[in-house]
Amino acid sequence: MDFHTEALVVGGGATGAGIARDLVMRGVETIMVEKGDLAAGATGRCHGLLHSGGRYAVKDPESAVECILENKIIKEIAPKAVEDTGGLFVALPEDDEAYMDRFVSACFRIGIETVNLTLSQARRMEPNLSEEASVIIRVPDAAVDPFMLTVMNARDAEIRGAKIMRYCELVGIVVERGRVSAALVRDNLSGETHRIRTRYIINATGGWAAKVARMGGAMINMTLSKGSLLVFNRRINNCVINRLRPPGDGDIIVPNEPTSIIGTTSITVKDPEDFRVTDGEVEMMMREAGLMLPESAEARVIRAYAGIRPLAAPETGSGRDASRTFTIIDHKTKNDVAGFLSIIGGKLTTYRLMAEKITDIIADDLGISIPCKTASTPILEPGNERHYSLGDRFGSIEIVQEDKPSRVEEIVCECELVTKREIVSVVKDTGTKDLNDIRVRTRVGMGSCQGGFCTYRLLGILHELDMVPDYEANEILIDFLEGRWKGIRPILWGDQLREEQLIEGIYMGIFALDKVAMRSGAKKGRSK
Amino acid sequence: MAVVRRDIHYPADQCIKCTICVEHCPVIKVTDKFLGPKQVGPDFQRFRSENDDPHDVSVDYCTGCRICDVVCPSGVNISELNIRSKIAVREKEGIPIRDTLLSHAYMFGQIASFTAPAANAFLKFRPFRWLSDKMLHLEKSLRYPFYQRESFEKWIRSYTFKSERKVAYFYGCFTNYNDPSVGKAVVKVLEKNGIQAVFPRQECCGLPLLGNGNVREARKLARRNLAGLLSAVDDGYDIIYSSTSCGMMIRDDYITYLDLYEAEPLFDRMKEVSEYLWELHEKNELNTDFIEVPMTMAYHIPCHLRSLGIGFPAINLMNLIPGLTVRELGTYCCGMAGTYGFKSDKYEITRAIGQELARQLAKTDGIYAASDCEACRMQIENMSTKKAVHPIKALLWAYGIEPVGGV
Repeated sequence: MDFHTEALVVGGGATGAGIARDLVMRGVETIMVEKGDLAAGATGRCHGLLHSGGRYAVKDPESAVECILENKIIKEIAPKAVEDTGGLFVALPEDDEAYMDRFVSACFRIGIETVNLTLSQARRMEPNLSEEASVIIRVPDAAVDPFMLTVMNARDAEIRGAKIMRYCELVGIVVERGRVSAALVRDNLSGETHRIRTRYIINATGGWAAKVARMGGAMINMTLSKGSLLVFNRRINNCVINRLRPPGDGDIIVPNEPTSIIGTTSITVKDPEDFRVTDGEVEMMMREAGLMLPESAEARVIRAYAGIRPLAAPETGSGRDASRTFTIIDHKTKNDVAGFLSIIGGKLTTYRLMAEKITDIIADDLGISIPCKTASTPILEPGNERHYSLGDRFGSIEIVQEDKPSRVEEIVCECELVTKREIVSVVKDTGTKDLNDIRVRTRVGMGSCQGGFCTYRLLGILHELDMVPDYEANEILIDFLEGRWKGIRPILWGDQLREEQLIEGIYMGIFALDKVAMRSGAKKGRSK
Repeated sequence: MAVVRRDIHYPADQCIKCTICVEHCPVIKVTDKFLGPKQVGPDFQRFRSENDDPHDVSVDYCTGCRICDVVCPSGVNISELNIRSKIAVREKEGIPIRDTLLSHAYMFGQIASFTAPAANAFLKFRPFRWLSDKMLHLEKSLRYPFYQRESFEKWIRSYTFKSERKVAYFYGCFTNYNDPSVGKAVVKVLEKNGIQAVFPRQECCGLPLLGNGNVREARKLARRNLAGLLSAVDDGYDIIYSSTSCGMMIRDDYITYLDLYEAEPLFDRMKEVSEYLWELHEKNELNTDFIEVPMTMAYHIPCHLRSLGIGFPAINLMNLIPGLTVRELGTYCCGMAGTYGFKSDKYEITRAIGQELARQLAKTDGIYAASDCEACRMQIENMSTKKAVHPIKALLWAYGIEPVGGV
């Protein structure tokens, strides 16, 4: 099929969706293509932290300034995706005192509001905080749902006229007389190839940016840095907890829905899909978490995952030294390919600013004088109400029960309290039969049992809706459960090990899924 | 902002979602108004925070039988999570008058036993029951327990047996006001073994208050009970109880729910009456001079006896009696669950849970059915034609103190 547009955004992460929204808001006709689901790359694999900028205040003030400005903006324009938890920077006795002074004065210069707390004040907010904490400083950090933020941006762009094409992978770029003229895109679901004629191609593909640039005959020098994270079974902290020291590994714990997430690491990798979490990383993070929240050592960990940071800087020893600000590359000046721009680096917190800057360039080129309004226009209004509190999810399930005792909400995922109605509505809205699409939109399968029980129910629902032919059922099950298994494998101890024994019993003993012959030849991790 | 619980070793982490508790829950089997022990317990617990308003609705349908705790292979204190969330809801929303009345039944005991014939007639009076159902949602079709003219407390005054060997006896308010014959039987059986009962100062154990979410008042009663019970322990006495629910409340819940850590020394000294007698037997100290009691006795195990974790000593004891055949019914919760069954919105559930008990009772010979718990005995009589008795009565008959069937 042939499409025609002014701008083609490649990549459906927070940045891509933000760019698509900004472009249509300025009257530029836009298509966004994403090879998988929205937020499937670095966006969906990040920490979910809306930085106050405190982390970068001392070493990377440029990035810190961006963070604090954007922090305030995102809280205003996307309150539904933000849980305004606040954050603490915590120094332990072994930490460098000189750094603490530098931290406070840097925050002051940059405009990050800080409040010094006594240990007893802090422990009222954060009862699990270490008694060893010597300096505690409050900053305006918050937790953000990266997936929701991306989906909201994409949906808003769509309503304003953009075309969002999921599961459409860029396979080629046509350059004519030194300017991009079209892109070839393969629909990964149907196998069909589309041709999209366009004046601009914006490469917002994160870790895949170099690969995409090459398709257009351009080069990008960038570093891929893997960051690993661990998910606790429940909230062990109320606000974001940062270690007050120069940015290092395992020094941030972010509350996220009913869980807490500790991260990260920084390991240079070659492949943007190298998501393996090593034993060493797990041990280090558990040790570091224990220093700030001593009892976390006993808390159950349900999952490990990793994301790939596309850093703008060339390789320099450690990825921690690279600036967290972003770079826009206009391939016209660098590689003589006009209409082709790449954006790399940056953070989830600054996605909107990144979108603004790159859209400015295109608007300028097109002679459009409409200024950027994304900083003051709430995303998806109305329908962008306050972030729900932790209890609201089961509150809503229970209230429905009380009002209509005859029609009980059927809970599909008992750990994350996802109802059948929610699942059906996602399936009907998106037309997806990919369990991961349903997972990221509802949190199904993301709780204590990691899908060990609800996946089978989920498949039953897809069956009921005539979405899945019989011969595909096993593969969908296996694919999803193997995906979950990858994240469980690195943290197999204690309660999660007992859990996994049971889940494996169901997987192998009841459903014999390890004996199923896969048509696609996908690897099965569980079978020995 | 959410506030997390301080204790991080928290039981929700241990739950591996095996769902064994749901399989055994008597309530979820018969109604979908209760989401089940796992959902309401460890599952919801991940979403609860201390300064968030409590959201629980369906936990009100938990009977508090605690079978979930007994069967959990992961050691999760499911019922505690449920009871605590019930308490949180009640603390925010207040306790309905009906539940306040039910949980203060001990207060009416004194007046009602003084005016027993009138009070009983009144409780039977149809217009009164209709009215209390309409106004207070107290189930009208259920038999209320009758009050006795002479409370057990009053009877104690005529108790003159003296012995060197003594044991303290916590009889509980049901025995005191509604069925003093149980207390009398306990005392007479002890006497046959040369043991004198002493009676520490006592009031309602507080379980009905706790079950209805009133921690503050439960704690008041508990403190007063503890004064008496702890001084009995100081005097070197074991403490026996004939109501399994009272025993569980005092032995376990004073610490768990009421934070009364001074109750700790009681743990090893509290003994269910059959447990106490069986221990005597194991030491060859039980008087087994029994006469033949030719009958079949159905026996229903109370949930709170299971929860105590002391086995089923009443069965052992009854098996010592020549001629007596014990038929353990194999039933779980009877459905009455203390004050639960008196609430009209729960009545259907109570009946439905009780069906299995009714079936088993109907299949069993004999006219007597024993159970250590007064609520179970009420339900046995509601659901069958059998006469419900405390197992101690079998010993009363075996010792020939009373003729078979007598109290």
